[in-house]
Amino acid sequence: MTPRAHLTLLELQRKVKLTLSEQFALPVWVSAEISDLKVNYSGHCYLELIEKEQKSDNGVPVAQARAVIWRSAYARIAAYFEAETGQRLAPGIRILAQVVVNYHELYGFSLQITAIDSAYTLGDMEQQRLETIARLQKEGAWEMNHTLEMPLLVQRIAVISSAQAAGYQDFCKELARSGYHYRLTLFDAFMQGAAAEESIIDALGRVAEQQEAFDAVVIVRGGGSTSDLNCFNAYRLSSHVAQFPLPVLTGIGHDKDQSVVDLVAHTALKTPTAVAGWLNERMERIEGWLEGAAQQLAELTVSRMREAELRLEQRMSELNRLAMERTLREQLLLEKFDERLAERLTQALRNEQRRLERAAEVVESRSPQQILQLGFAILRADGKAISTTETLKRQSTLQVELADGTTEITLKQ
Amino acid sequence: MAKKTIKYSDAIQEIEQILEKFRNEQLDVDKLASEVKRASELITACKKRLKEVEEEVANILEK
Repeated sequence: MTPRAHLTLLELQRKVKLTLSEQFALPVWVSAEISDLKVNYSGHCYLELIEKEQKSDNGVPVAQARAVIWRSAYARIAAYFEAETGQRLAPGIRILAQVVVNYHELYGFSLQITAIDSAYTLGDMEQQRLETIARLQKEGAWEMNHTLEMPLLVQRIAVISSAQAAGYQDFCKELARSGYHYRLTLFDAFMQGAAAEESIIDALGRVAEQQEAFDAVVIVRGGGSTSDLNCFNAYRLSSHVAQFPLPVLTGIGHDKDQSVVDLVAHTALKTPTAVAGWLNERMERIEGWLEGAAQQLAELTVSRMREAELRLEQRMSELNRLAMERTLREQLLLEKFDERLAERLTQALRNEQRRLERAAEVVESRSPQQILQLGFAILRADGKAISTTETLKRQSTLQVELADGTTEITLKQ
Repeated sequence: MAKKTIKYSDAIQEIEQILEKFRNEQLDVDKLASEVKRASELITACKKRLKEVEEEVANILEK
């Protein structure tokens, strides 16, 4: 039995290769997303390109192909791309690449990238950025972190960064320079590369688990390099930051347009150092306010004391015045009593005098002289008045007093 | 007379009461001296308390 007409595998592969090279004699421009990228020891860059289903975030790939940038072109292409877009060639980025279609009998289908149009990626990034913004606004998440109230004292800080990142060191150094006491807790995360977005979201989740322990979250990222900012424009991370229950401060370290994360964060600053400066300034303001309050407290206390003292002085002098008035009045009253007393006394004396005078008159009317005038006589013997016959019988010589004088008489027995 | 323990506000109230008696002339002359004495003792106590509080406050604010 003769085998039916057929090709060997190699013959088939050669045919495919020939057809492809005829069909794609010249390089073509292809748009795709990088899903994987590795630079091997020899300096060649191997990529996986994919195309995802439209209108889906974690869309299923509907096409996939291997691609390579040879060492000779890689340095130039990568550097140019990074300079233009501020973005390293990395998984997750959509590119427009000029490719030569290759087919190798042993290794199969691959694309050799000879140029990358950075304007396409820029446009795509901007497009994504605008879409992210529009979506967050539509969902109502856009303003959420802005409307949180930044605590007066931002002292307990959750820092999301990479422990080794220069930006994190800068941040800590600047805070330490101020001399204020902060309590920093680092939530380590990849701040660049394909894993950055999920890693930062994971760190945010860990902070949220103990949100009561923090006043604010700071997201800082190494200074210098401006690349790999894409994740800060990504929807998922932006959405997490916007809806985070604590105020978020960013110092992502770039001077181009603000990223979406910056836009939704409570407060965005250009660099980690600037975030630290902002925190220090806030501390200074609070310290100043506290000093002012202490000053005011002292002044108010002193003036309250003075008032109270003055009130006491017034009471004291009123007391003096009232007591003096009172005693004076009593004195006057007593003096009046005195006067009245004197009057009464005079009156009484006068009455007494009159009574005495009347008595005198009575007495006068009964005086011996008056009686003698009436013709009575007083008999005396040896100067003593004689009032009984018995006494008279014993006398021989008597003195007789009459109204006009005294004469002596001798009695005959 | 619990002079040591009397509250400032109570002392002030008592001073006012004494003054009120003076103003209304309700005071017996016999009690005049003792009331004046009581009121000025209270005022002195209040002044002393004020001074203490002032020093306390100064100390607190210095820290």
